[in-house]
Amino acid sequence: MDQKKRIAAAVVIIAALAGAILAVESFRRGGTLYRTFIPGGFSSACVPVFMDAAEIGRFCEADSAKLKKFGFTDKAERKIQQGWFLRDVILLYADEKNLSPETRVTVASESRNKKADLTWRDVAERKNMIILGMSKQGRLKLVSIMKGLDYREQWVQEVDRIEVAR
Amino acid sequence: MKEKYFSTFQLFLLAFFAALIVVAKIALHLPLQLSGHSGIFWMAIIIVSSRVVPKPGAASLVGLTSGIMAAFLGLGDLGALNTLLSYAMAGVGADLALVLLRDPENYFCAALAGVIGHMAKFMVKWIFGMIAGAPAGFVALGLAKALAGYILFGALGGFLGALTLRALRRAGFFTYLMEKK
Repeated sequence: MDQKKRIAAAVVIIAALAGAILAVESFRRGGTLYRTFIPGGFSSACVPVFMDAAEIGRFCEADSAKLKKFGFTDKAERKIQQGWFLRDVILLYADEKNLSPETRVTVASESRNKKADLTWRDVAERKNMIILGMSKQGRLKLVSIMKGLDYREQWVQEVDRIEVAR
Repeated sequence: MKEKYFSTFQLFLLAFFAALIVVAKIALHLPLQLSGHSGIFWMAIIIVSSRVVPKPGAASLVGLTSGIMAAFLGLGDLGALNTLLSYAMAGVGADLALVLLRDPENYFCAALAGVIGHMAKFMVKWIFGMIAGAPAGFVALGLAKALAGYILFGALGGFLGALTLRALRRAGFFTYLMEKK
């Protein structure tokens, strides 16, 4: 093999390595490739909603179509966070008469080992913008502009359980 | 008696290059806020070492030795094992590239060997970041930009190495080495 062919082979190796790194990373971080190959939405993993330990419903993609979307601009990264009010999601399955301002609402992610403990007073207040948004990976995440829940570190990604305790 | 793969003199030279990499990492800083910019120094040193001791494995040994030294000195941001492996892989990557490209005095070959060696180091950091879940600095900056930085500075380092080798040849260093051998 002459020198030109060796150089060409090395360039191909470098391009292949760089392409492989970028492809894996795109897939891992929910980039374009991930969205191309993994169907969006969270229909395959509906989020169960519990009231006093009893499951009262499962929030699936089809249910989200019944709700109106809202959003806000996240102050740290200036990105638009869009989704459905947690209040509206809970009211799909629970009667508002059964909820008092002190009712506890917990939004949890077992996979991330994170949770947010809220009161119905907070959740019901629309100006708090307590929203279940959709991540790039098609998983639900709890986002908000309410004090104490207005930083990314406090948000709950990959939500897999919503619990209401009276 | 079986002849040793590296002579004592060659091992001494390789240890010297390894120490030079660590010193360069500590002492030489470019005022650039770009990932991998230090590769301009150490890929140059690795390329030079691979020609000064023209045997497969020379660059790997320089990488491994500098990795051990750097790990003991506490260099790197993701722990000793990461430091050891990333330094060692830079040498192994350059060595493997030179098995294919052969001539480190050729500007293109040296630049490409520098890129491959530097990318091997990048891959170690990237894989460690994935396994540990610890965001390496380059993840925060954007992986594509960081990778481009590693490729650019790896190539510049390799090119600088080839320039150094040509200067050494003109100065008669390789003739001197032949006599010492």
